[in-house]
Amino acid sequence: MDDEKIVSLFFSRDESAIEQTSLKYGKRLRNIAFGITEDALTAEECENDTYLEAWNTIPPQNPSTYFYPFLARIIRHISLDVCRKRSSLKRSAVLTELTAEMEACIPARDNASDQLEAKELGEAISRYLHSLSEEKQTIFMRRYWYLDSVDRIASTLGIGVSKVKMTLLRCRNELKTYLKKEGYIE
Amino acid sequence: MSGDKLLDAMEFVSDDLILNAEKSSTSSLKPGLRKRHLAVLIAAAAVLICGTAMAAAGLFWNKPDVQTVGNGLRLTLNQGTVVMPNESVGIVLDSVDPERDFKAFLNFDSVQEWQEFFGLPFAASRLITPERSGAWMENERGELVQRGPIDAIVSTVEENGRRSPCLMWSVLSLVRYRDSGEETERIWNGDFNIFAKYREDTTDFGSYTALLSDPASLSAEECTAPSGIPYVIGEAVSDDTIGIHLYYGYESVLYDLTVNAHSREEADAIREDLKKIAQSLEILYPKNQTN
Repeated sequence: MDDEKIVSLFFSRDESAIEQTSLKYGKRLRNIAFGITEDALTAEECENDTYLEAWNTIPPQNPSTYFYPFLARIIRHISLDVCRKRSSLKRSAVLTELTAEMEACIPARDNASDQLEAKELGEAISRYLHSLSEEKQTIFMRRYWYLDSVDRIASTLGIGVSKVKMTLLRCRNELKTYLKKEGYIE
Repeated sequence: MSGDKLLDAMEFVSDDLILNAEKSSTSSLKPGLRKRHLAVLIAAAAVLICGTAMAAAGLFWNKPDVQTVGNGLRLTLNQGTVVMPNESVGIVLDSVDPERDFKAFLNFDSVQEWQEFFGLPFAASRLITPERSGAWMENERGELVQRGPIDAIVSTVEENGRRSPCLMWSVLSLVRYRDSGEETERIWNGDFNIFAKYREDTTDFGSYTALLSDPASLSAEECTAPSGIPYVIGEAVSDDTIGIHLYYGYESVLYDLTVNAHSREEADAIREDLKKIAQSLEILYPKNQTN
């Protein structure tokens, strides 16, 4: 079923909207959640929470033309929240590692960044990423959007781990320079 | 915490970035190249391998000192420094970025360009060429290939008002293939990390290796190749992978060939491959350098 039809089921409050969404995107959504939470049961819970969130926000939202990214964002947000609330040491360590990496882009002492809306910052990051080659975009997105491990990124793209790490290092440095030039950080 | 803010801000990047990155993880990896593509790779490798392969005359081969430090592997080469051509030093200093820790971030389109810039012979094995004479066995070979530009980072230091290079780190890719009929199968791919030290007081090797390694357990085996070049085969086991490293170096240039395995069986096979590479190490000179 195409996305427009599925979204129209949400609009008409037809509960088969959930079933159709699950049939079409369930596996991909679970993959995102599993990649972040690394737990199949939790991933399933995140998936169900995503459908609930979609049910509660459509309408007024009308994501007919961007339905999958709309759902992907929700499940990523939910999965990250779950990880943050968890007391699992391993998961906390991974999130700590990722946030430490990203702090190279915005130093903790920079107060201006606290006032920046996440959406505006996200758009700035998009503009920066669009200036990169496809491979670099993919490496950055797989690491900081999908929260893949460096090893998994290297395996998936058929490149070495060092290449991934060097690319991420360079991208983070360039992003910092870009955000400074655009006035997002001092 | 601002790092958290950035992770959250990533939620708002554009749809096409989300979709393209997902596509890359679901599309199957190409198993290898068809034979008609080999001519391109052979030509590229031929540029690298010009001149006669010689023994270690003129270079002081140095066994890398591999130590465990914390949960990482630290490599040091303590013998002297190497020299970067003056013209290249000028380019490095012009490229230094004060916003990025006074490092120069460089790209090279070919191994030859990289070699000529840094003035370094390339020490490797004839097994990593497509030439039949260097084949592991019939229909098996390795190739040094690069995906996109070769990245290099040169860190610099200021002393008495003058800035100079202190450490170079470059990454090249290596792919090992097996030919069978019309298809070429990729067996593994790895990284060549190359470090060169330009100042006696440079201690940055440790910081780079800490960036590269986060293993749970480590081991190292020291050997000497028939050519007299000493090397170390190291293994670093973490939760997800087993990293097998081949370390060798001369003066203050360190090579770290790293291949990751996902099983004990795969690791053992890769280890044997790296031993074969190590046992056939020699020097391959750039095109414009005489022996």
